[in-house]
Amino acid sequence: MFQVYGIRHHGPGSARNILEALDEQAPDLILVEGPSDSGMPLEFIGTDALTPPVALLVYDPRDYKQATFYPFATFSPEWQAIEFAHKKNIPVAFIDLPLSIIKEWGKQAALRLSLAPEEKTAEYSGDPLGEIARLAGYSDSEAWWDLMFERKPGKAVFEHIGRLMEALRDDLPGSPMALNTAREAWMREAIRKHLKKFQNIAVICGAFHAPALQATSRIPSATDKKILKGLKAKKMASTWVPWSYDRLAYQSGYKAGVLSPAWYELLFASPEDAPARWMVRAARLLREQDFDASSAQVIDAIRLTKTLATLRNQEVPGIAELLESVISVLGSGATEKLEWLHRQIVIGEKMGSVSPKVPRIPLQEDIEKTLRKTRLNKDWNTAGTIEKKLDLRKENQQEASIFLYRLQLIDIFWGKRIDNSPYNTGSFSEAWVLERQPAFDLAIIEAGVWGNTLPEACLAKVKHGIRNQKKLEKLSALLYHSLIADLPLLVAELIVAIREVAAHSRDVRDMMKSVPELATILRYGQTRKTETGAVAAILDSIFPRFCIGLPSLVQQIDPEQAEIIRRYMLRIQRNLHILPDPNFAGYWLEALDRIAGLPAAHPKIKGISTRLRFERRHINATQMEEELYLALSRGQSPEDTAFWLEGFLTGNRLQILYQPALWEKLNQWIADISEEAFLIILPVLRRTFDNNSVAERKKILDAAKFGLPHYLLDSEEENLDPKRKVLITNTLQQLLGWNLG
Amino acid sequence: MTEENLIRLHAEQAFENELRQLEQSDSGHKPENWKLSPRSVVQYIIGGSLSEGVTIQPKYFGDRRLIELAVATLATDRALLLTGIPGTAKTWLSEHIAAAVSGNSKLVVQGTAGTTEDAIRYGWNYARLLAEGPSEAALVPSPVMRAMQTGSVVRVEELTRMPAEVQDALITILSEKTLSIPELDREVQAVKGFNLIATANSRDQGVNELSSALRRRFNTVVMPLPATLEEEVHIVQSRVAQLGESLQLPENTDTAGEAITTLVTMFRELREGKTADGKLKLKSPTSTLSPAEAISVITNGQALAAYFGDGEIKARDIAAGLQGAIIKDPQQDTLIWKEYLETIVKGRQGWEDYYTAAVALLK
Repeated sequence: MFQVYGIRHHGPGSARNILEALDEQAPDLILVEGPSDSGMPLEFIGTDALTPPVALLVYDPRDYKQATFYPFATFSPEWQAIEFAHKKNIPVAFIDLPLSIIKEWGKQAALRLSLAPEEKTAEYSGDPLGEIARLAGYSDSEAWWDLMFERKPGKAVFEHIGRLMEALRDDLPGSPMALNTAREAWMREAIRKHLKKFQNIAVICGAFHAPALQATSRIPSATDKKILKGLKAKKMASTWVPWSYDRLAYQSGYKAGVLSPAWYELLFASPEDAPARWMVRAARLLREQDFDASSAQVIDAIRLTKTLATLRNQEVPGIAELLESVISVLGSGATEKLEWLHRQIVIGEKMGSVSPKVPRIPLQEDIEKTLRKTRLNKDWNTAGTIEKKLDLRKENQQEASIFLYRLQLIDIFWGKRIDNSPYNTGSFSEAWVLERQPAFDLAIIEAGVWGNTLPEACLAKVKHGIRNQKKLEKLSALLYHSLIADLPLLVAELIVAIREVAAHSRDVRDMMKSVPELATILRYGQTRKTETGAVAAILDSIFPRFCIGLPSLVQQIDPEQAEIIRRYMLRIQRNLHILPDPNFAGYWLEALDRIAGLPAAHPKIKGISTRLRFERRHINATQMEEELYLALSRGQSPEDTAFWLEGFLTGNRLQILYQPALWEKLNQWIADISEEAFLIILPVLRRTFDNNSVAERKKILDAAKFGLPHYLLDSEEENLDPKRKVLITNTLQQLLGWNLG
Repeated sequence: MTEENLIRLHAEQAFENELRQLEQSDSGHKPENWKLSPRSVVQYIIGGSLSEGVTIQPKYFGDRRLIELAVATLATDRALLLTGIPGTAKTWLSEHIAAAVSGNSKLVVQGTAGTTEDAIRYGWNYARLLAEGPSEAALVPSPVMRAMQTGSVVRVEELTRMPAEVQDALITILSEKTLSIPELDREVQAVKGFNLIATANSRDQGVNELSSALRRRFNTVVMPLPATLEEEVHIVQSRVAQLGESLQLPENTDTAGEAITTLVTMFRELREGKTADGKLKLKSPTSTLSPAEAISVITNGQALAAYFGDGEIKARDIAAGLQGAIIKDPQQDTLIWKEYLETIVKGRQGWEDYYTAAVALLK
């Protein structure tokens, strides 16, 4: 004999009723709709090893993309039924179609969808409950179901559900979904198998499937065997992972989700006084926010809730009535306060936990150990985003930073650096934002194949990833990453790889992109107490070759490429003083010299070359002006001139104002240009001055209107106090790291 | 005086038949002194058909849950405060609820800056007072007092326009449900069924904010503007039809048509500060542009069309009312209206006549 109980997943009423029904039936076996290949012992349910909400993660150990989470809360009927089984020492098992088959099904369905439309079978894929709800005048099926079945106590409700579903299924348009047919056949077969050994079985499944399972004895086993012919399950693995109410809520995109997990929890725990308890919590939260919420108002709000429920023909008020009463009585009609209440007591901020008693792969354990050691444990178990500031001078905060970087190397981006945080000034502090995602649990298991500890996994995974990597840029970025993640073994590996690639590389563009990365490593190497000699050696090998190749890189290129190169050239010059070999500056300037003289080099690059050489005092003001005259001369097309100016001036702030000769020349050039040509170059010119601040642009405008201010024209150095001048130049020289001459 | 020649009937007069039918078929539980059960009150407001084939006209178009909340409030002993911008049917709703609950919507206190405490508590017949001294006979009860004595619903219109000290006279009435008359050394205790519906405008300047003590005694329901274009057009259309009947406009008067949709679209776009397709941002004028104003613009146009035109509402019949409704602040709003005309109305198909008529008026 067996009894089928159709439930709503995560329905608190279903959960209470199932307990009552099971108590009366006293079954000798409980079967639950859940993937029968989960392979996960269910014995942790109901012990202190799991604190709901938690999810059963079932995955294919050969293909981690084939994975599914099965979330449970205390108010999930399945959870209660399994807990009941454990308490009474009754065996319990999952009986649904194995997940491996369902996943395989999904792949083939995707293939089928690409066929011609008429070949698609007319399967009914709608929301059957939604349709009844609409007939009954409800906009969503949850509200309707909630009212019809969840708030009615007593096991008799299962019979009604069964009958209703039977009538519904008989009238559905189109053929039943093939996957559902297979699932139901599989479940019926499972029930038949168990009936050989057990006499009194309880079957718990989603309401929709209840009639199909009820019919087990009427349908011949051969029919089901035919449906299931050829379906083969593969071995799957599974584990328990913490879940949160936020992700249990329908709004998070979870299809079987509910509107209000926090309310359901209350409703399950104390159905009689749940509205009162909820209202008291709402009032307390409002008081915390300095809103009036007296006990008298709470009483009035509860009364209004009940009157509303009566008016709407409901025995017990639901979350909608509660919310309306809160707005009307406590909120003076204002909905703004609700946003916050919603998060707290409609959705709820609860996060479940899984204790170390649940077997897990070594990498999970290692990560949890590190979480505790670095005191990130609490953050890891918090839903939502958290901002975290780390002071790298403190040992355990530096460890936390290292840990976050290591996680990134195995593709777990729990922590992300905030680039523009004011806290980032200086190299010893970092601002992070942490956000836990459900996929991380799976990613950790996935990374488990690479090693049993986090450093091991990082090493093996990255090593594997760079086998065919021939880009210096990518390798240098990884090198920097592994340096700040304190993985010396990986650093060594990467250095070998980079050296190898660098030795054979002829890709000047790639070298250009890796130079600033490598220079940064040299600069920060000291903060992180890293051996940087090897990096210096790599730079030794590529920098001269890069300088030789650069002039050929900047010829015959389009403006977009020129812009990229211009930015890198600026970065390289800024890093020049960190580079190990003092001769490097010489190579660099030589390359710039050649670019300035190349007719085919992009004018923007020529412009920046002139500027960079002048900044380094490689050419003097007269030489610089000569190059400017050349660029502005009539023989050049106005467009080329504008590009040249962009390269020369962008981000160069007020230089044109402080070089009267330059100013005069530019002024003259603009005045002479024809209107037609002016319109062509206008966008480039605009871009050139866009980076300047409003105040700077105002100064330039004033100079254009009224001429240069006299103090700028009058650059007689004799007026300067020589003593003060020395003080200033000395300091500046120390700060800038080069000789001002 | 017969009912036929009155300009406007009270709700309980105009819908006498519906109320009687509802009362006859009402099987729900009635709170003491209520004429109808709360469920029937909601049905009276929302409309629908009774089993006997009687149709109840909808009085309010919009969210049923809102009406349920308002009626449920009255069924508990808390007072109801309807707030919202002008023209969101606050007064309309309060009148109909009072008519359905107590069968009498005439107990009203009109809140103005000049409202005194007498209007809320009681006044005196001074001739009698001087002749006989304080006595029952010399007492002139306020609508609130009469509602307390009869167990009815009293309405307080524009609560926030009253001076704060007058408003506060309501506090004891609402919390203790008694009104003391120290001159006669007696008090009036409210009979079951007594409750109060107040309306307050949330847009007007110079309102006297409710004290928190008084606010705590009210359940607040914020009346929304219609959610969709269709809903708003429907509201305007049905009210215009009803008004047309009572104004006895000539038979050939056009009651529906393009004009309403066009007008409501304009109002909504200006109010929400963006075009109906959400693609363009617009500036909003200071005027509220509620459905009530749309209704009056259309009725105005109707009258023009009926008496001076061929009965069909044309763009020029509406243009004048339109401009009056939109331009409240002559400087700012004129600019916004001009901009809207030039950027939106001019280019929209079928709106050419409106553009021409409106621009002609602006000159």
